[in-house]
Amino acid sequence: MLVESREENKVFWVVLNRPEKANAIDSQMWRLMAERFDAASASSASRIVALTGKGKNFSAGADISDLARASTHSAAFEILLGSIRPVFDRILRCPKPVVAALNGPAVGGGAELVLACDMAIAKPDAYISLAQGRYGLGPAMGLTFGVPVLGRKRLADMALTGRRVSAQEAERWGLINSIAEGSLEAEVEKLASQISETPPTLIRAMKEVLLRQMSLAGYESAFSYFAMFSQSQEAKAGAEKFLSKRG
Amino acid sequence: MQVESKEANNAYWITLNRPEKANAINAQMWRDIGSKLDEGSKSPNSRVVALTGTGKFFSAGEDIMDLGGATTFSAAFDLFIGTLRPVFDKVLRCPKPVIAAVNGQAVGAGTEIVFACDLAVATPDSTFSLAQGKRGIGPALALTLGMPVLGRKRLSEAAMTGRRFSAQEAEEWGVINSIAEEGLEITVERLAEEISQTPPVLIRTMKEVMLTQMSMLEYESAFHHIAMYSQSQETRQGISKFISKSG
Repeated sequence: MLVESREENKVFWVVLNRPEKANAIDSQMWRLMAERFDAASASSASRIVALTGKGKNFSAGADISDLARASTHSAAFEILLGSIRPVFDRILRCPKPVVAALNGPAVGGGAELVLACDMAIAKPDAYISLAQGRYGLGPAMGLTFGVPVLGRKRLADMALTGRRVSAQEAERWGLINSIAEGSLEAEVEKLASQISETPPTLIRAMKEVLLRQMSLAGYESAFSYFAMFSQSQEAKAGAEKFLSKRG
Repeated sequence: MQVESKEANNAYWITLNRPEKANAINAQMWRDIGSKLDEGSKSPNSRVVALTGTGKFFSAGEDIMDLGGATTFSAAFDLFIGTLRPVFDKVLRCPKPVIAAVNGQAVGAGTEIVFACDLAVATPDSTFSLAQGKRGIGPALALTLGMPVLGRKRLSEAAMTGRRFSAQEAEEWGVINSIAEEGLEITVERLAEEISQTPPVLIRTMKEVMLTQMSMLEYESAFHHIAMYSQSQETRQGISKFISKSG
């Protein structure tokens, strides 16, 4: 399965399983992720949900070839609002904290997933980049989630330059909570056990209050902006550039 | 007196003086802090107000016996909206910068006071925690006051795990401005000296503008939320458990 899950030691793991494509997420995978998040929310055996990837990468984000093939606004809308947004919605609405466990680099939409999560832990050699700008696309979701996480200046640096931010820099910035020098799994389980000392309803309530302070209107609009961007000449040229690079 | 004050070298000091109870703040003390903040705001002899504690604790936060005694919504309303909120309001509205001079452990509402202040300095062995979650009470105030200070990921971790974080971590995260290697008094006086070079009305304006960035709606609601939570079974149990533990 391109998205797998398992539950143990109070953690419900959602695992992206497409290592040969750096865990780039296609439409089917977005749907599977949404299902796994629903299962995670409903399960009483876990206190947190952890999102991670198999292999060397956390995720390269949305599969560009999917987007490149969306040659009409309608098709792009379907992908952004029909497939991708439901997953981000589930991360935000999940009654349990969602922790991004970076086994490797998080790029583009992968970085946006990290920004959307409640907390993040990374392996020392992971990095995060909002590289979309270089390919004529806008990291629209990143621009809303990123502000209450990073602050305006650091977010502007990431989004406008598209550069890589190392795990060490990310920790200094509060973009991730900690670096897992040893086992990523052990760090995530430790967090789950700390969180278990607080009653679940309170965790849910805390998450609601934290999210209300973000501009949710901005978050909502981001997806339709992205759908519109993707139809521009620049975005199509960017997608081609990306695809030809990949060969 | 459980709350004392003195004025020297441009600083109006408010000192919590109940070291035998870890400077836990009961209703009378909240009222005294409020009066001292009013006095400090008006005095022509100081440019900053500093808040500190005696002994090993900065403050253990809200007095647990008071919390335990608020067995009706009405009593909880009086406590949180009638007694606590005016103090936090006065910190936010004080025309002078309010500096938390953290002399030791800050727990629960003690940490929320640090978040509410304009600036903060701490001794190297100070620690901070939002332990309310573990006691079945919500650190609702921290979730709003803390957002423009810590960012979502660090605040989620602090609130949801309830763990202690050190003065060094607090400095890295921007919860405190500096560690007072040379002592709290000297550090605060130096700050007061620097601040006195800016006209008072400008200080007031700067403070007002910065506060507009916080969600005032959520801040206001927080006190209501806490008052309502405090009436739930989970919270009553959490409070009783804590009271019997503290002996």
